[in-house]
Amino acid sequence: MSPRRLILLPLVALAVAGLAGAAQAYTAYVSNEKDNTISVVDLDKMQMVKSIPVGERPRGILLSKDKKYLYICNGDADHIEVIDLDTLQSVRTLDSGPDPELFALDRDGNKLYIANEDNAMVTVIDLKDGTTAMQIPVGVEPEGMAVSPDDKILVATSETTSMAHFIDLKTLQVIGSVLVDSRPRFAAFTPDGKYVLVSSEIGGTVAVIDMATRKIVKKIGFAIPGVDKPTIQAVGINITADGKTAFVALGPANRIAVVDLTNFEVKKYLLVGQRVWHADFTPDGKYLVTANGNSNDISIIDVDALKVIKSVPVGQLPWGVVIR
Amino acid sequence: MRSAILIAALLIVASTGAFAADKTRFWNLTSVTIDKLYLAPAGTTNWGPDQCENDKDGSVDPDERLQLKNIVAGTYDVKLTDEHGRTCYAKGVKVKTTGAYSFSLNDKDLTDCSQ
Repeated sequence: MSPRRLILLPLVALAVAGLAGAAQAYTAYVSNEKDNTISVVDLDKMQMVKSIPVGERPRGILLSKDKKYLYICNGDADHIEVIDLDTLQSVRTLDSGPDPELFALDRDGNKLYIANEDNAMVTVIDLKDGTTAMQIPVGVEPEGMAVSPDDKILVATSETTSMAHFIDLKTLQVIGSVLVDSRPRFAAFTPDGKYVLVSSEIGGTVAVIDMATRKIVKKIGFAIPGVDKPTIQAVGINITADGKTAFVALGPANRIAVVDLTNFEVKKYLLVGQRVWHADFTPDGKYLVTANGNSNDISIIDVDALKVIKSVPVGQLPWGVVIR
Repeated sequence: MRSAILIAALLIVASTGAFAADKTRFWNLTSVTIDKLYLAPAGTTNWGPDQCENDKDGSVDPDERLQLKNIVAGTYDVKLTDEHGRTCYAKGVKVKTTGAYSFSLNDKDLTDCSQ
């Protein structure tokens, strides 16, 4: 072994050990839509430690506000499955309406707002008793769901109608809609609630909508040298707690775009696994973990360094991820 | 008694058949929208009707499902045309009528693509 290698190896080992230490005690839960499992990944060891069988086609995945339970949208089973994170056992299912895909919790964690892809509805479930409180008609193929930080507005995106619908959470009525680029799949509020960002998969853009005027103030486009434009499909959006940076998953472009939210400009593209749909931050905000569908793995990104530091194999066709 | 058993058996077959038909779906795991999709028994060119006509907008987006009609379980060749006008094939695809979907295709499954 060359002397240079001998010097480099301990340095790399130190870096990995240090990063592992920083992510200590965090666990990622990954929904795998093809093998109907949730992969449990120890982010200290950076390896999958368990696979939990769940209902058919798990996609949307959320933690309860107290972080004791995992909620999973099982699209082909037409229900929400609830996993107890102490026992990693399924403890109940909630009737969600047909083909639940994504969902959002209210600020207190008592209500679940579910996008029903097949019947153009948003189903509202009261988590105290598990009953359906309301169904709200929206555009065709709803998917993206986001609750405003003040808990007053729900934004639901409808893929086929290409709209972001604004729902008043007091009246549960649609109070406005904004036309965005083709196939909007995700919505995310900035922490101050001033803007909602809506990604468009086919359009390959992110619309920045001013919540005060409900007008698009900026459309963020993406261009990656050597990558065909149609494969740049914007889907998941994760915004840092300080509201300064957004990470946008670009699907089959196999990249995460890093967007400066002070000027809405893309400042970097990070190469991750194949067909990246969604991601989540570790609770300390230091790492972003992406679910890469076609490479059956997750990528771990160092948020400060803007570098991908590790990929970890999980189940088949990972779709969503949450971390506690 | 024998006829009662026969009727019960027929009812079971009929109900299973209805369920299978409902679950006969193609899952588009490629990175492109598919505008036309044909199936032929493997090794033949007896292409059936364009299955994309079963979809409400006539195409199957990435990650979307498409209801298939008049398809029985077996091995098929698949011909598709994507949103860019490219025609590709997938040979010897196993199609089932149980479970949540009948078959899926990834980019790497597509061969002999031409514009």
